[in-house]
Amino acid sequence: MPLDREKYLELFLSEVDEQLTQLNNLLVSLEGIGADEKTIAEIFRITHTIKGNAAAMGYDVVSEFAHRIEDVFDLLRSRKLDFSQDVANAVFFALDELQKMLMELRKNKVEPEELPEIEKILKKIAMGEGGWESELGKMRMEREAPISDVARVPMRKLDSLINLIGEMLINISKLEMMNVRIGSRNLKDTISHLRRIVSDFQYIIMDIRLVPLASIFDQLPRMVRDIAQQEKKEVELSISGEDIQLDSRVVEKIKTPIIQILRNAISHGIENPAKRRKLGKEPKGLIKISAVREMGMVKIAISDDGAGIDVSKIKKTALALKIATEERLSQMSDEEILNLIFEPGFTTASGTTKISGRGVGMDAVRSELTSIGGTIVVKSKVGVGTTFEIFAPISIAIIKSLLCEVGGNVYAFPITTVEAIRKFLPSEIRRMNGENFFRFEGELVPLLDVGNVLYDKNPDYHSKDDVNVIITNVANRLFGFSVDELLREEDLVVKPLDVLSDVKTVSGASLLGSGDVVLILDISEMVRKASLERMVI
Amino acid sequence: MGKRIMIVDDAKFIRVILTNILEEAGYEVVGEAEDGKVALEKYPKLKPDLLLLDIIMPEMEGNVVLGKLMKDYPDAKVLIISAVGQRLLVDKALKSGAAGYIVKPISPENVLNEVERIIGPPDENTN
Repeated sequence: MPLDREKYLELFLSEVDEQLTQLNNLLVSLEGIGADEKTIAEIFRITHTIKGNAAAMGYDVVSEFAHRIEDVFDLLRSRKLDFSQDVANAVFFALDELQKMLMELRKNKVEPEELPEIEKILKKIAMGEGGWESELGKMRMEREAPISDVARVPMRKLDSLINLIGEMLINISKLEMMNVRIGSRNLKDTISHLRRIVSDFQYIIMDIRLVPLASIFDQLPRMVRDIAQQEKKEVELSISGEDIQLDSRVVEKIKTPIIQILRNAISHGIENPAKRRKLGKEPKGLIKISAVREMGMVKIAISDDGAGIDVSKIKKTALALKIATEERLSQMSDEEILNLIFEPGFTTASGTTKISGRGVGMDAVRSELTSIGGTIVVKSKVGVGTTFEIFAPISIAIIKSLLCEVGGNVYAFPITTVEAIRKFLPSEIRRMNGENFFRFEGELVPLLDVGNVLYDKNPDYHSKDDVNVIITNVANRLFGFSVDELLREEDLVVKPLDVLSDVKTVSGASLLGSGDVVLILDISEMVRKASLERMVI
Repeated sequence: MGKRIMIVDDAKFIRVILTNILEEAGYEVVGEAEDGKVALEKYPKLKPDLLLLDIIMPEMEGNVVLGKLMKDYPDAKVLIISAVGQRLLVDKALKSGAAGYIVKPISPENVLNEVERIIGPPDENTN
């Protein structure tokens, strides 16, 4: 009984994708700062994990190649090798080759049979042999593709291509259903071949739509400088992760939130130089922006070392604005109270802008992000500083989703929000203070019911043999959602929902091969709706 | 109660595969840890019937975790996750009290055989 590779291939590939991005970023920073021990150790660890994961899948060639890269970093780690420009070039080249191997694996479902040519050079480096530099130079020359034939294409044309792919996928599903009746082996093979072609096509289009975060980040130093000057503050800005690529529509959507948060950080977070000196801080404040890929999403952290946000002030304002009751506030952690700044209406009353000004437009910032399936959280310590974490999807045009059925309708959970799927016995669901919970990995996790959140229908867990639960993770908080039936995973082409734009719990819709409409749930809105109506947080 | 298992591996991917294999067979995965420190904290709270432990981890080597664990909980049952070429490390682990080991690539059959050999079938005394 070998491992069912198909089942884990996507997971494996998406993890390596992230690891490769990390490796590239770490290598870039290594080039900038020179042979830094911690960075080298981190690179070693990541290549080691890739090797191990590939080995677990039985992809021996990929594992072996990762091993070769790991060997080079082993030498760098023990200082037996200098991190020269040539070594850097060789490793960058090797990472590109690894990426190619994985693309081939994604396409053919089997790994390449042979190690890439660069393997010989890695081996020579690891053995301490010289004379590979000119060979590497030749390889790099040969690879350079002519870049004269680049086309500029308006975004809307790419949008319409995505829509056409959606139509194709729907029609392929229709064909599949027809063939259930016909039962032709040939037709079945042709359909699955067609599905593969469309999926490659989709992959290419998605790739074309990607732009690096640098397209926003590059504008920030100048902007920060200007605002700092206006506000008479001194600010140093550090940026990392600008190489990470996102769908250009996503980049468009996260730009305003990032600028808004930066503006607040300079105006109200960072203290003026005199005050900072008095507090024993460096007169120059530090703002860090860093982006990393995390489980199929991008996390952008914006942190300042300024005054921080005072929880007691947030509490007072929340009470005054009737955003939360005293009783509810007493049950919330400081972090949960801080995050009330994103609640609609938090800023409307007079005086709220005085709370380090953080209230300004924060609800707008959050709804901008949730509209594309992202979210935002804040952490802060008085006197130490504030960190905002934005989570954004890599693409918004096609969402890999988990389909489920509730009350006869089909709903989709974006796969990036799904942590696990479980079945529970009714007896395993605990009721405390009128809320339901279950145990997951040793923790008590709140259980919500999709039907209940959407249309106030109370779930009857005890009449069932078992309860299907989708466990979601949004900004590192777990929630379970009970559903009637779990269906399957599917790539959904998202159609914006103008009619339902007031229904925040639904972020979009899509069509299934059967012609049925499926609504895509906005999980952070679902959690928010449930926790506002009841007391679960 | 069914048989309860905890998984310690720095790679999330491996934890997901192992969890799926074990849960499909009917075992209960009660906890995961991505490094030795967390593993040692969680172990006494979860008291699993079996601990699956990666032999190579960045912060604390598998053998160090194993040594600390066996000192405090001599009855702990530990199954080592290893890869080809780690024979010496595995031998050391077996000497320090590991109950068995598996070698990557991970095959459900090998995992389940070893787990069952050490703690028995998943539902020995449940429904």
